[in-house]
Amino acid sequence: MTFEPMSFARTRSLLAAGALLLAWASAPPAVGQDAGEPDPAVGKRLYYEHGCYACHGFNGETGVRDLVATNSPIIADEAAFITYLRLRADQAPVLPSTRMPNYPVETLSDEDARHLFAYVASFELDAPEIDDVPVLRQILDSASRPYAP
Amino acid sequence: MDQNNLARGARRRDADDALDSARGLDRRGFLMGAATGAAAFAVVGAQAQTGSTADGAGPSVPPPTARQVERDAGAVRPPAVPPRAAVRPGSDLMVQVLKELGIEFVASNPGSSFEGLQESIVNYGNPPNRMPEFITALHEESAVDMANGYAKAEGRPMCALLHGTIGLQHAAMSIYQAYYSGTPMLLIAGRDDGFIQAHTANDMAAMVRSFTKWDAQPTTLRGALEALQEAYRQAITPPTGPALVVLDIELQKEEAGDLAVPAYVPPSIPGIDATTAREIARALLAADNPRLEVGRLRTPEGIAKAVQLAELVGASVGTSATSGPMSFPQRHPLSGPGADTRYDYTLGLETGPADVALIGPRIADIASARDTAGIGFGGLRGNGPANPFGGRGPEIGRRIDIDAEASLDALIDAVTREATAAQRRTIEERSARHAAANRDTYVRAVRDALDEKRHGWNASPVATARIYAELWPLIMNEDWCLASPSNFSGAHHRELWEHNRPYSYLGGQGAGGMGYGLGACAGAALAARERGRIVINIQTDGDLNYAPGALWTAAHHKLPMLTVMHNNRAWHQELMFLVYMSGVRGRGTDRGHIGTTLRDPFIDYAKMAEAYGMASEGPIEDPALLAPALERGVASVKRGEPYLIDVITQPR
Repeated sequence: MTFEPMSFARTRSLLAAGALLLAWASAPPAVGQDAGEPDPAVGKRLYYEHGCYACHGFNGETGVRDLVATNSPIIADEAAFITYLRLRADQAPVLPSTRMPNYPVETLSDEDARHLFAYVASFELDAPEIDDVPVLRQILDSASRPYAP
Repeated sequence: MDQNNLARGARRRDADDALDSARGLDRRGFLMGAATGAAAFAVVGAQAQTGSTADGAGPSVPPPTARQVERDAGAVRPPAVPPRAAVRPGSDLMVQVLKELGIEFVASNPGSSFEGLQESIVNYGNPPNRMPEFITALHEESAVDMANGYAKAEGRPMCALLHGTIGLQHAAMSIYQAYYSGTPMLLIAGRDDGFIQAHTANDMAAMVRSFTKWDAQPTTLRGALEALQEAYRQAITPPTGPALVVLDIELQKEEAGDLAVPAYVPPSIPGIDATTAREIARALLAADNPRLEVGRLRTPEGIAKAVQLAELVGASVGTSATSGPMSFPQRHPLSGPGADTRYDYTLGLETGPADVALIGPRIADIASARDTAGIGFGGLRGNGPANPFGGRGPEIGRRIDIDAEASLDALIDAVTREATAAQRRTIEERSARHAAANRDTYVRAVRDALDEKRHGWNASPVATARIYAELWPLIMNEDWCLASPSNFSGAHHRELWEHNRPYSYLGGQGAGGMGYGLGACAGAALAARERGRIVINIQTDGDLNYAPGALWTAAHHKLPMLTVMHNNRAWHQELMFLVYMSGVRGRGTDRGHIGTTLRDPFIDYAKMAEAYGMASEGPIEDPALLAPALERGVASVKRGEPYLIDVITQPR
């Protein structure tokens, strides 16, 4: 597939990047870990190719399953992440089919899963304070205005 | 004329000839005769009268009459006014019926089976083409969706006029959705049993009978006029829904003579009796903390009465205004959980939970009688709401099967009579407490919502929540209507916008069918055009591509419709389904985009709108560019000029 995702407007701080590198270095070995460092750029490509963005948004902060704001233990570390991807590999389809898909090792290797986690772990929540965004402040202020039929 | 038009013209002429031959008149011969003189005409006429055979071996041709010879010599001048087939055509009376019913618009894609009626719409009356106005649709599905959006906004029917068989078939899905929604509308299908055989049917309505409330195929002009009136009555009488009249072309063209339009008699919709009303009124007045749960009523007048009842008894009110039309104003001081959520008596109006609920007839009540096809009515035949996606209905102690709106006059009257002075003072104090509590609750809810909606605020592509948030300050002081379904776009308006009008939000598609949004918005914009209202259309890209011609309709008829694309370049729900299915089958999730996405190439919706004659801009990926674009769009629609902004968005 040649789909090229849209460019992101967000910028990330060096401090955050450093923290993420530290997190990777201290993470426990992943299940079936292959040689080589996980690459967020490869993970970004996989994130689109495997349709992760469909539920989690292009930046992991929108969509039906917000990844970054929920502090989910599933993305707390690489091992937990990969374990979750494999968790329901033997389950039959259920309806409604809006649950997390299964990612058996046959279709997403451990190496790719590590790349994917590297990208997911790089997500940051970009949520400005309400008072810092005039339109959000305006919405909040207007909420208390009198009812005018 | 291109080849298709030439071919179409040829087919039409062949069909005309076949029809005229069947009626004893050779059209080609007639035209030739007109061109070459009276003698030739006389021959043709004689052939028609004597039934000559194809091989020319028929009876001998009689000599021309003296009058024919005179005309051939130029001694006879044509009359100043050409003779007309009908001085008072039947279709004029049909239009008169529509006028008297208050039908503002007839949306239609032109068709020969109703050319008589169309001619009357555009030429009959003073001024012509007004009440009803002919609205040009580029697809019958759009025409019916327009009627759907209009009726949801106004609480009364519009008309969609459909060509025999093929136009009705085009319209079928949108009729199905209107039926599922219980939307009242008047459908007319033309029928011409002598023109194009493929475009006629003995029982035209049979194709859509399973999802229309009522139909008729009258055989006399008077019957046709009465059928139109009855269809209107059926459409607005609970259970409300689409009603169809099949009008034969011959009835449209028939000379009406001195036939008068019958007087229209509105339906009598039963409400609760005085005894039951008094019983409920006493319970409301005796309760320490009464409550109303208001679902979808039928008309704005019904909502006004529900407001009056709530104020008379000082009840807090639950509303469905954020999920569909015709419910209690969301920001009315009594709307909300109130000062105390321990309700000791709840009255439901078309919904629950409630101790007593008044729930009128639903389409489900008649579905089994009409549904000969067994088409998808599991959602309708249950006891719950008309929800194609199922779900249990709310808990109801005592259900009274009667229309709530028709019962409100009796309830208001009973409450007014029964209330004591002491109760009125209590009600006044309670109402004040509710108002303060509901305001605080609402402000907290908005703050909580904003706390969530700010996530991804600066994301590119643009977060859907930001579209709704940026729009709200621009329209909050306008008379607006959100006519597009929001279920695939995050539905952020429910938490950010105030839904105080009967038409603030028109709800979902009805049966989950795509292609509804644009047409419904155009219909709502028809209702809005003369009323100083603007229509907001948060338009999903997949939905737009079924019948984008409604963009032209909006431009042509100058509809105040702002379309903001929720362009995620996919039928996104299906993308998620396919990724899921691929995953659970263990065959890989990297081909989920096949058949579910709109890539390679991307579609340029700003150019699409431009091609249809609508002002537009985009695509916008940078969220910082969104607000100025929305400002331009709102300004445009306030001038009565539709506008489209293509926004590349996050998936949901």
